[in-house]
Amino acid sequence: MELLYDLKRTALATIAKALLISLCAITIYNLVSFSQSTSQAVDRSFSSNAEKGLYSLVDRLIDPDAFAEFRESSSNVKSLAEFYSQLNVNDSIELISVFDQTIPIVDARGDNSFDYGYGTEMSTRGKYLDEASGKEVMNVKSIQLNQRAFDFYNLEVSSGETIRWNQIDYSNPTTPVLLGADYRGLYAVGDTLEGNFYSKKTIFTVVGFLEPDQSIFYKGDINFYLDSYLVVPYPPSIVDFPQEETYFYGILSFAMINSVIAADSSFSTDDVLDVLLKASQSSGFDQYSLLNVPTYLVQFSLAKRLITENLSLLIYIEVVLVASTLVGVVALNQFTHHRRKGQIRIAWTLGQRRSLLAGTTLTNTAIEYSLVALFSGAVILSLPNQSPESLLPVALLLVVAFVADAASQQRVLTSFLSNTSKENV
Amino acid sequence: MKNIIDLKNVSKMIREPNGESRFLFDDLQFQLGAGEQSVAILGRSGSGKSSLLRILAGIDLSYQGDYHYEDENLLKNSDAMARHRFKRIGIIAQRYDLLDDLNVVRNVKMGLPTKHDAISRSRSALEDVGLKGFEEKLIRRLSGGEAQRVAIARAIVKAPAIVLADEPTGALDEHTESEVLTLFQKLQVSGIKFIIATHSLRVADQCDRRLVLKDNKLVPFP
Repeated sequence: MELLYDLKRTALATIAKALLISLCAITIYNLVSFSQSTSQAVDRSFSSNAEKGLYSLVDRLIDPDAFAEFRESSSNVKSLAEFYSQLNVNDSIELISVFDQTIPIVDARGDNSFDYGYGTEMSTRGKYLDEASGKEVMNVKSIQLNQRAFDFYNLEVSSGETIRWNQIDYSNPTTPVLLGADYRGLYAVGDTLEGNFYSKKTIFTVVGFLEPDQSIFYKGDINFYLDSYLVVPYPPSIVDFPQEETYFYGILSFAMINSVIAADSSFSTDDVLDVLLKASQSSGFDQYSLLNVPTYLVQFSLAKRLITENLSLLIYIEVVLVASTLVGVVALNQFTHHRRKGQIRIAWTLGQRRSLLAGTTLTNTAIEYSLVALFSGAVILSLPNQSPESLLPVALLLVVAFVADAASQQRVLTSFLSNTSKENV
Repeated sequence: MKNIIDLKNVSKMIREPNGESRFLFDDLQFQLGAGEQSVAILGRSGSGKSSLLRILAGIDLSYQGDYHYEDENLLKNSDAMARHRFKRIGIIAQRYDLLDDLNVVRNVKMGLPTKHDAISRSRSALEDVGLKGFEEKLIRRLSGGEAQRVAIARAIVKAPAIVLADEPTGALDEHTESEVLTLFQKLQVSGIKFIIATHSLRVADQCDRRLVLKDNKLVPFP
């Protein structure tokens, strides 16, 4: 039996079959990849975090004059700092402190996508000459957060090192920072940035970069991405701040205290209030208010349901696709067998051994699945969702499909030869 | 005299379309002697002529009895019989069994067990059957007689000891039938033995011996 002749006669059907199976393999890969990433996301973000009750902690100094007056007093700021410190180390609750104060950076690298106003309703100012310093600056996007926020949102560092939280002290000459993934190539680990942080000249040292697509829940946005952000860590405590920097620490402490409190669902609102009361009595700061923030839970719940429903829908579509592929493969197998049977019958009648015919049939099947591996491999490698864990089940499925298909075609061959032996010579 | 082929005590049951079983062959004996060049097997339609050729070719193994070739008892094993067929038997099928979309020489080449010298041997076989110059023609462009000659060339290209022909002239007109029979005579002179299943007494008359399938046995044709 001539292999090349056979391939020529069945080329279109072979390619169609390979494309059909490849399409199925690619969609299975995407489904596995999607379900893995979503289950990881659910495990990571929902299972633990959705169990939490969330509250918003705000100050009650709404009047600007009262606010300014409070910050001018060193003892007031100290009491506020003490209040923060006590809550920050409390084991019953998690004080998740996040604020997105922009920071003017001198000779900032990168385009306007790092500007504070970029992608928002605010205007993008870009680089401009700061009249006070006479230097070119850009108000870059920045997030300031404490360790508990960093841990709560499972932020991950891809290179460099993570923050050594206990060593954060704004009195030091430099402050270590992390940069979002979009900053890669613009800065390197060890580079320094000169910035103006709440009117205090600050030198930031880049110690690492975040993984791409890192996000937090902030200002009602369930996926507040940090790729273009300068991430500034809050110190564990600012109680011992220098008296001459009361202005800076006054603003800073208010930014830090306006935060989210996460508590186990078994922990009631009264329990949370009790913790706050104790910290208040101990520190002397009582200008706070506690708000429940169900939006967070509702959004997580909706997102989780959406993912679960989408996954179910995708599985349903995949089942239909696999079934359609099976029907298509069976039809194409019948077509190719119909195209081959004349040649097989003649070869068999002329004396070609059954084992050789079986070998040729197996070679044909191997060629089909080699094409499948080629097509699907090329597409999968070009997909953005690279996942070796998802590739393994797809590869195993293709091996199983190959074995089953080869066995099925061998059975058809055996049956055909058996019938041929009963026909006229 | 030593027999080339010796079929001994061959019995075969077949199932009729109505589901009933019946004997096709019952203790059938057949010998092809070393000195014989051709044997004709006659019989009514359905008497088992083609089935007997299938058994002789080693394609049909579902029978009882023994098949000896030059005193060697052939095993009823599919691959062993295929080897026997490839080595010794040339086959001319009733419907030619050629691949329409291949040219003449590639069809003939299929009859060879090895690729060694395949093209030149195929061309030589085509010359033997009077089809020199037809090598590159597609089968679908040939007449019935020409296609039959290609089938004959494919059967003889490996220089088999025996050619089994099933109704070789059944679809040919009288003139072409004469040409084919002349060709058979010529090939017999070259040493190839023919066993021909046919309805045609004209074809049978050309053979050294005539047998007829009657009452599930082979008997001499009167």
